[in-house]
Amino acid sequence: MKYLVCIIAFIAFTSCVEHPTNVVVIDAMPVIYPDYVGVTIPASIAPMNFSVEESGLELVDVRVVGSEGGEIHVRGEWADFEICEWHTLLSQNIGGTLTFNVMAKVNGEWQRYKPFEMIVSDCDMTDYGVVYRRIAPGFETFSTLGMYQRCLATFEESAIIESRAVDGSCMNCHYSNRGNPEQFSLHIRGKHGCTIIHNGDEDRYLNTKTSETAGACTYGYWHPEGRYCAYSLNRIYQNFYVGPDKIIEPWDAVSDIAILDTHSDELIVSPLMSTHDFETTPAFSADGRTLFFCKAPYCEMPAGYNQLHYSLCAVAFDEKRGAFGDSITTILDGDNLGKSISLPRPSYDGRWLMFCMTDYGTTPLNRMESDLYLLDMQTGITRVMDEVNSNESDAYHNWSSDANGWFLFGSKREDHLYSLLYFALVDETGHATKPFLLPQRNPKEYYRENLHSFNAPDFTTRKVELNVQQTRSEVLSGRVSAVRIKH
Amino acid sequence: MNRIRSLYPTLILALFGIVVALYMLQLPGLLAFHETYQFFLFSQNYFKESISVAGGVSDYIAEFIVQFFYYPAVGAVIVAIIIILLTATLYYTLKRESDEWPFSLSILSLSISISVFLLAFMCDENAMFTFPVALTLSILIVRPLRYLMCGLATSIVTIVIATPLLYWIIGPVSVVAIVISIITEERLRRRYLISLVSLLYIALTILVLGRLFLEQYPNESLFWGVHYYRQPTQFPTSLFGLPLYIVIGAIAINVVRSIRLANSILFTSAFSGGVLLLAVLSVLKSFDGEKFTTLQYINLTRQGAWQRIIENSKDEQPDSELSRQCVMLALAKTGQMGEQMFNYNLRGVQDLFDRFKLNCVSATPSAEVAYHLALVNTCFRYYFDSQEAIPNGKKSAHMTKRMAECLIVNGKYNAARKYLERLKRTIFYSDWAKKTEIILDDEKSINEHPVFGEMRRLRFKTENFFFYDQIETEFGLLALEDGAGSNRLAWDYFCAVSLLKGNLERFVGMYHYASEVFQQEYIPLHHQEAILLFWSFGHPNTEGLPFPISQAVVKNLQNFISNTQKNQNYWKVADPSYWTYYLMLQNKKSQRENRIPIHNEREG
Repeated sequence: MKYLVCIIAFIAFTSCVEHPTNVVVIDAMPVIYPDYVGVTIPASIAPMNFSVEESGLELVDVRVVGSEGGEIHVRGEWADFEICEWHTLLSQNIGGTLTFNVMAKVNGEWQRYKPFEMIVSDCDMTDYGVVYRRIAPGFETFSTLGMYQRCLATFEESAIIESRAVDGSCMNCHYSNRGNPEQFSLHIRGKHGCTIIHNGDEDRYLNTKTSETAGACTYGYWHPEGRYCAYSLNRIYQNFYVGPDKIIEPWDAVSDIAILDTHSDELIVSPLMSTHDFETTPAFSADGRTLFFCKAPYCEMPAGYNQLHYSLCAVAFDEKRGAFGDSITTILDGDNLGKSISLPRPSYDGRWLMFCMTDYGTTPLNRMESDLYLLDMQTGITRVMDEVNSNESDAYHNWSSDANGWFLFGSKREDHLYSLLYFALVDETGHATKPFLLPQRNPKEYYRENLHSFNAPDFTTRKVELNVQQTRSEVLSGRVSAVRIKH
Repeated sequence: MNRIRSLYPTLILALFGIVVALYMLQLPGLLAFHETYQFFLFSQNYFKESISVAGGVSDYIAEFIVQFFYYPAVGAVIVAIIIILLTATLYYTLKRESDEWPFSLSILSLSISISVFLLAFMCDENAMFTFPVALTLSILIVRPLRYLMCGLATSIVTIVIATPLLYWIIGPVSVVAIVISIITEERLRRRYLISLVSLLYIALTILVLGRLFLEQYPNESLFWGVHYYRQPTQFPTSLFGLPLYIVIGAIAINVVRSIRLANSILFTSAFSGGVLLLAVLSVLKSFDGEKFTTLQYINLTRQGAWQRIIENSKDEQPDSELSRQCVMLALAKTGQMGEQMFNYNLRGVQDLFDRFKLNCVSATPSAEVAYHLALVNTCFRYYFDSQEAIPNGKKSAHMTKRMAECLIVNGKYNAARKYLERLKRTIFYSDWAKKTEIILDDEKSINEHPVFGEMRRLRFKTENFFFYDQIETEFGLLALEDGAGSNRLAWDYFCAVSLLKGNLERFVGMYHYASEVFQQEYIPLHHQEAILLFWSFGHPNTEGLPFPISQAVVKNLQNFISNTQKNQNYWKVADPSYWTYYLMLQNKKSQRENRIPIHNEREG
């Protein structure tokens, strides 16, 4: 009797599964969202779920076949792969390709498209995930924002800390030391303003505003050895455009660079880096001996906003003495290029330096023309990364801690407003693969409903652990240590 | 007589319902305000997001209801229904079958007074509709809970299971459901002791649930509710006071029930009169007429009901800057700004247009001004930031609609599509979104569209214009940029800003040029007053005056000057005109100048 019930149930179940008949063959690849056709992916990435863009779509049937073996078959409203099956398939096909055979039932009729491929890279991406600030791209205020982390192997996203935990205070970017979750800095703004330095089990709450410096610590970057963190000290204002393509122009009234010694809470300043000119967005080289940054000659602001061309510069840094070198080297001259450089990010193996270039100014995220560029540190040759750039802003890039070419960046290519996360791989020649959008369980629905930008993203090697209640209590208590100035 | 006595609760409740509905009908601005500051979406994700927070179900239900406040009259009826439901449920929960007239009238009065206190709380525009919904759900659940509490053991099991469940569905107000169930359940012994123990259990449950699932929320929110008040860091006493009042009321009813005097007319009259008087006084205390008027002006501006705005403003001078901004826009839209604006007690440019302030309300009239002037980016920015400034992190369907319009005018169709997708999943914005989505990417249709096409014609054509904080220049350039006089509204606003700033030289200078651009044959009254005033600074008479100023205006100015020479404060009592405003402005300036040296001396 038991077996009979099972057989009947099986027959009933299988009879419900529709077998495509009279399939129309389409001589084109499917239009899918996100556009994952031909992308290169790391073996650890979450299922690359997608939707087929067809009006009248009823069902999607996808069979993924690995070049080295393995197969997955899914059917539903969108291609929704089971996480374990997906990872098994990817681990079988490292260095190989996945072929996606897609059929779609459109207005009652099945159609088969030309298959497309994804390449499974043999370059590991061992990072646990990514960390970003999720914020609506507003102008003078924000509602709910927070620092979040997202596991790259699954779709799990969790809040590290949200503004609601600290009485709605604004918080700025999270800077970790090469993705190390044990060492990061985080700024809280407003009434309870402070800079949180998380170092292992210890959290320090610092007031980095001093009477001698331009402003509080803003854009940060850790020295690889973990004792120092370089910051730009900015006093930021913004103005607004009236035309259709641009809307906001943030600018620095004052902008200097200093280095925080996290052992002594001293802010190391130098006359070289605290000039009348504008110095900003520092980043240490892979060996920690050089500090890259951007610098623009002083001009009256905001009147000279469109003459502001930042150059890519470097200055030596002596870790033992905790001191800047004596001279600044200009690597790429913004005035000569007629462009403005920002956000230098050296790869952790020291081979590349990626940066943004815009027509002028210092906030690439607000500039449609912002593109990513790659400087080969061995040859000194710079190239525009056309293969990853778009017509909208491409900025806020960071390298994977694996130092094997994987990087992420934010781009507003989807809709001009919201910056989303993309990943790509730079090969030995400095060319990048086609970027792919951060996968989601149901990407179409997720990104359609998303009203946040993924701001200042970076990789994290492991999950970030922050005691929210303790942080809240410390931040709201106002017990912050003042930094001392070291000349 | 008995029949009348059995019917009186129904009659009183019905009458109370009518009173509540009529009362709420007087507050259309408040109801529209609630609708404006939320965005209920028919979407699975939205539902999941809502119920992922304690009290999310009641919030979801409240938001579903509030979307009908789009029509304030419907909103008034809905509020009345919820209030009556709460009152009736309270009454039948607190009343025992053995309770007779007139004691039952005391219970009814207590129930009504609770609802009236609730109405007083709802006078606060930040009091979310979730709170009454949660209270009503709590009281509705009392009977089923009581049914389960037939003995000590079943009561304990019920409390243990129901507490976390109800907390998650209703929020902290669910404490009322648990406690009232216990103290009104006749079969239960040692009810007050069980209530106290339950309270401890509830507190513990909230802390555990909070730490497990609501790590980002401070403890205060866990106890006072995440969804009951729009300002997440503020916790008005009503959030605690009303549930406490219900519990104390229930205990009081239990206690006095056994006293013989309680069943007397005297007691009932005193008790009912007392609680109802207190409740009504609380409404009177909470009622803020100026605020409700302002909210109604904003609501009418949103609807484009210009004539109604002007009519309302004639009945009573608008008291707030926001109200005056709405009235000025209504005057401009009906072509009366130059004729009428100084009939209102204006105090400066802020009565016309204001820069964004860090809250969700104060920029909305200015955002509407920007919308009608075709200052597309300003409108988008103001609405975006206003939406982001909604303290509880909710979005706004109305603001999203306006932002989508701006994006379409700017040709950013993908971003507009994203907003339209959201609007399509609402009740009242869906039709518009669907119709608009069809024309996306179709430049011709958009250029011919009555709103988008018009805004494109009127908007700034030059890409790189860059302004710091110069509204006057912005309006002036917008009005005159195309040299064809298309944007008449921008010109009116330029004139108004110049006049409000007392910048007569610039005003008259531009007037020469602009009157040709706009082919202006008639000069509005206030403009005549300003031109004549400026002329009088350097000329003894009107000879050679290059503008056609009416003789009546000339005569009025002569009278005004003559009266002012006799009495320096004449402008304070004179009929409103630009001259009275101008002297008020000069007076303010000189007061400010006089204050500065004193301040410096003190510092020195």
